[in-house]
Amino acid sequence: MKNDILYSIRNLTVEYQTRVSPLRAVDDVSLDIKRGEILGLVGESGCGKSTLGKALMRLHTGAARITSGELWFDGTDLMTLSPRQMRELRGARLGMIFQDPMTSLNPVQRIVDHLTETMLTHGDWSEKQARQRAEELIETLGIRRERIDDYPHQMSGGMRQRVMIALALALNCDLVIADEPTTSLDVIVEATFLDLLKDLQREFDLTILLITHNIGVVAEVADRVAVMYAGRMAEVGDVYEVFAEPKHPYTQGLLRSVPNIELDAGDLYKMQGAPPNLLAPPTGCRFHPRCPYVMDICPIEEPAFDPVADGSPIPHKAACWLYQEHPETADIHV
Amino acid sequence: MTTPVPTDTEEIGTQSTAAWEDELGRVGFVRRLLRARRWYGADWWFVVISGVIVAVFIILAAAPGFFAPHGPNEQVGPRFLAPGERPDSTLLVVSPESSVEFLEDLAVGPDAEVRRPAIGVVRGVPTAGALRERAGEIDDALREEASGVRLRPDIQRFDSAEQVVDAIVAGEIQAGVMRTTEFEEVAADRGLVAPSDITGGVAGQGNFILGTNQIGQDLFSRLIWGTRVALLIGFSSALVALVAGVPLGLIAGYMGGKLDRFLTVVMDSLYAFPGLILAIAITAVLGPSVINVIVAIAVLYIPTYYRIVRGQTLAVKEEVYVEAARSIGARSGSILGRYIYPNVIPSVSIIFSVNVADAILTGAGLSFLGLGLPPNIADWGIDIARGREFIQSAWWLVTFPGLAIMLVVLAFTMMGEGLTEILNPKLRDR
Repeated sequence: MKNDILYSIRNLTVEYQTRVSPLRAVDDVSLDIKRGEILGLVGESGCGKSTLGKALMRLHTGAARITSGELWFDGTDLMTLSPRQMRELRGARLGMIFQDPMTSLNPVQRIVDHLTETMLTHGDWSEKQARQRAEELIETLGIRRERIDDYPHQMSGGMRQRVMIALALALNCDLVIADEPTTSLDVIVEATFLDLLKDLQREFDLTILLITHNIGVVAEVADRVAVMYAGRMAEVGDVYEVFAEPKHPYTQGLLRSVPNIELDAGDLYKMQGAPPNLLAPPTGCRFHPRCPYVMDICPIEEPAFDPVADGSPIPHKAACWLYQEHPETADIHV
Repeated sequence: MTTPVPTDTEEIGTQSTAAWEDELGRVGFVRRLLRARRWYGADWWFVVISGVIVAVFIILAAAPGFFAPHGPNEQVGPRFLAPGERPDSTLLVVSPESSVEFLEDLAVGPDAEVRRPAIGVVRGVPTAGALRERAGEIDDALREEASGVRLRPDIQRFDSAEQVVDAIVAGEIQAGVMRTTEFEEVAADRGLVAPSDITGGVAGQGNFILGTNQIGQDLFSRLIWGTRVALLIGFSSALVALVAGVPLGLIAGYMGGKLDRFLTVVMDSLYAFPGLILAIAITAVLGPSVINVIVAIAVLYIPTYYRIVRGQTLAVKEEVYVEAARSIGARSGSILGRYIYPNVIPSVSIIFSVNVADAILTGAGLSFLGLGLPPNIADWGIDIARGREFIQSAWWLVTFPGLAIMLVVLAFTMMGEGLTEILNPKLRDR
């Protein structure tokens, strides 16, 4: 059972230094990523999902800093590793695909150099072997061998994104963090890309954390889904369960906001209010100012992130007072 | 390995790449240059012309001995000869085997076999009178010494310069005296030499396109020899500054922190100091030599490279591809060398060209002030400084070195700016 979990995030907090005060983009988040699954991480812009993704590889520089938490990856707490050990993990066991394929490849380097760099940095490869492997790899991803000597600008967005996957696959990374990989692709390319991702996941036994704001993408490829709101976990569970029976009011709102061809434009649900300012987040449950079911307890105390439905083989958790025992507000002394 | 989803790459391959971007990637530098007219309007010939001028200067600097008719410090003609003016002095002409260099060498002691050396002149021209006068002067001086050595030439008159030459070749006379023009027309072809003029001055021969200076050096030759020092100083100091400034800028921009702050303060203080004054101070301390001038000017330009490279590094460092490089575990050295450096260097190549021009100017300024270069080196700045006092009587002494400096500086600057536009298509709509 324990071996089932590849990556376990425990109470992770990431802060950005701002001129006013530290901004907690990720606040006390715990999340498990199971071996071999595709976990979709959704949330609106600025909710901290990309920050979380980067934190998993300890990629932050500059203003962002992991202030507390543990990152258990395959039995090791990454927070205890030296920068050098961390660097050796990146690319070899942890891979990342970035949002914009137009800018995530070095414009002055050939595709082949991108691909072989990973292998030459981490493994005992000769240059010829690495090139051979790189050629096989991009062919697997549906790019012709000859194009390996191209520069990034000679390729389309979809091809570049596939090159990015190839980078993650080059050394068979255990976990691939895909940060909005399809956001800048058009729908046709997006669909092909997602199919490819899913096939590769099966073939290479990948574990993928798919960060996106697009619920449709998650529904299509993910096994489980985690919903983030304002730096915290709102809900996590099996993708069918969460989409069929969303528990957290935020998830409910999110799902109802997705445009649907059967709806008239006017019928589209619009969540009231605006995302909170993370420099001064709301007290208690962070969603309470926008929640249609707000209760007295919500602004006062933060709900725990607990299982909400029994009997399901995959735990379905939500951070909402609706499903938790809570004391009468009168008893709380503020 | 199976192929999961073979999609049609051809179709996707072309859709989102703009045509010009694609074109830019495929054509080489030379073809880009040739196509520049289409992209950048009429300014393309600026680059071509300035490139040709720069190339000519480089060729001249590479082999000045081949192009310059005379050596840089050779006194080859009469003084203050205006551009194009023919030298016209009275030359002593001897056979090449003769050891005679000056008229004085023809003086003989009391035991000599030939007491009166035979010197040929052309009848009816003033050279004979000049010779007699000059020989008399020398003889008077010798008589005062009372060593018995005398100069009492047997002046033989011939009908033409050809006959004088024939007589010298035949050994009938020891020397001849004729005008420069006559010598060049008749005697030079016959292998005779004119080691000096009869006054003991330098034998002025040949064509001095740009005239001669106050000590009879050929200005044209000095300009060509001066190219070497000018370009050497320009290129070397810009290169030294680049080699020092670029890594510092890269490291400061990439590492940040205290090192960055320290280096930036140092560079800003260097930058704030007036350039020429700093160079004067450094050369004054180091003493005159070409290497010291190069060092002094290089120090001036280090901050230029540092600033540009540091700024660019700060920008490129935030690019997604640098983050992507870190995400595949690339080492810092590899990120700096393969991701940041190649994306920073195009802006450096542009300032390099402009910097060479500036360094040439500063170098000339230093030697004009008499600092930096040792006096035996042919340099445009030195030529201007020396010609300055004769500016009213001999305008060419300052004009031509000045024009040379202007031309080379202008060519480098224009080439740099033209290359900026060609290498950086984002600027072309400006």
